[in-house]
Amino acid sequence: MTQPWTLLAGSARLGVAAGREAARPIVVVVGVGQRVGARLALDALDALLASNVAEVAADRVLASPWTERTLTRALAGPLVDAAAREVAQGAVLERVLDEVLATEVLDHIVDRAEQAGAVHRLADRVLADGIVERAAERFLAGPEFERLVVLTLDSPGVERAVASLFESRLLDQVVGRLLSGPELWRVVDEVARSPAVMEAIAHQGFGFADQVAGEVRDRSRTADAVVERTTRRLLRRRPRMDPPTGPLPNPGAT
Amino acid sequence: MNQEPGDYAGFVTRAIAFAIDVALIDLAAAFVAVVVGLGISALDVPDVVVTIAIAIGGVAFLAWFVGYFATFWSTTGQTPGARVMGVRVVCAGGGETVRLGAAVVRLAGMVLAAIPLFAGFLLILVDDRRRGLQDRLARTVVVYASDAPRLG
Repeated sequence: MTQPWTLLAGSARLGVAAGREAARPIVVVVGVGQRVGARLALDALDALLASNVAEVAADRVLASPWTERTLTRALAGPLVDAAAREVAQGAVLERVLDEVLATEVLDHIVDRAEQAGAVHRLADRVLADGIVERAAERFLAGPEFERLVVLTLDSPGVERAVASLFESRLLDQVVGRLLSGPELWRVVDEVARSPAVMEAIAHQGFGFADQVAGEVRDRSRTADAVVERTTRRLLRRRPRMDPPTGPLPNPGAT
Repeated sequence: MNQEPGDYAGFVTRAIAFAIDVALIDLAAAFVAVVVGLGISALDVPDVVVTIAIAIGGVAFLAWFVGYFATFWSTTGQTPGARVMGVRVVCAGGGETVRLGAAVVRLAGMVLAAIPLFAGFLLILVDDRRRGLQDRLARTVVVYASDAPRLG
């Protein structure tokens, strides 16, 4: 015995199949219509772009305050940051630079600039405005120069160069030539006769003399007391009293 | 027992200072005498001239001796030897620098003190203010200088 819901399901499947067969020509017609419509729209767009109307319309759009406001809003918004992030994350600049360096674009740019005299003009401008001097002052006064010097001095290349210089015969020849010539001894004479060196030598000599004199003074003062005490003991005199403090006493009082 | 600055200078210190001064005086005098003697020996001078030169040299040495001590005592109170040893000659009354007359009297007192086998100097050992005969005559005392001398 056939259930009523089985009859209902079979009727629905039959209806769907019949509807699908009936809609097939319609789908074909709609597809053909879409393709024809798209081709017509593209042809119309090409015709529009090729006409003067498009140029005039573009000029008007670009000159309108709306475009400026929109552009300002876009630049103030997160769009620029997002674009910069994308550029940075995608290494766009590196790719562009690699592409430029791989091709002869850079050479062409330099050649064109040289032919146009731009290089000379730029050099004249840089030299006339004192840019080189300012840049040099800034470089020498800044920490970059110190870092560069430290890096240079610490580099293994400099060590190797210094080592090879000391091992080479060039240094021996230079030293030999210096020692055989009169210039070195003139310099030595000048240094030896300089006030700073003379003062240092004299200071050292006087310092030693001061030290000796101070030691002699200390010992002689001790000897003063010892000799005096011994003499007084031999003469059976009372020991000398401590010296009075303050101004020296009147000689008539003693 | 170390002495404090301002205390009276003792016998040994003063003797060393005096020895330094005498050495300087004699060195300078000997240098001059050698130079003059060489000059005279190079010339054929009569004996009387030599005798006169010796007499002049003696007077010059005496003047040099007196002038040395009198000048230093009456100006700075310190001869070079006294400066090295850190002592100073001052008036016994108030500690000021002695006058030129007192300096000459003190020098004469030193000569007098030396005559009886230097007994006049031995008074320094028994006097409470460490005064020798020359100090008593000139009314001076010798004290340790508070300003330590520096040669350099």
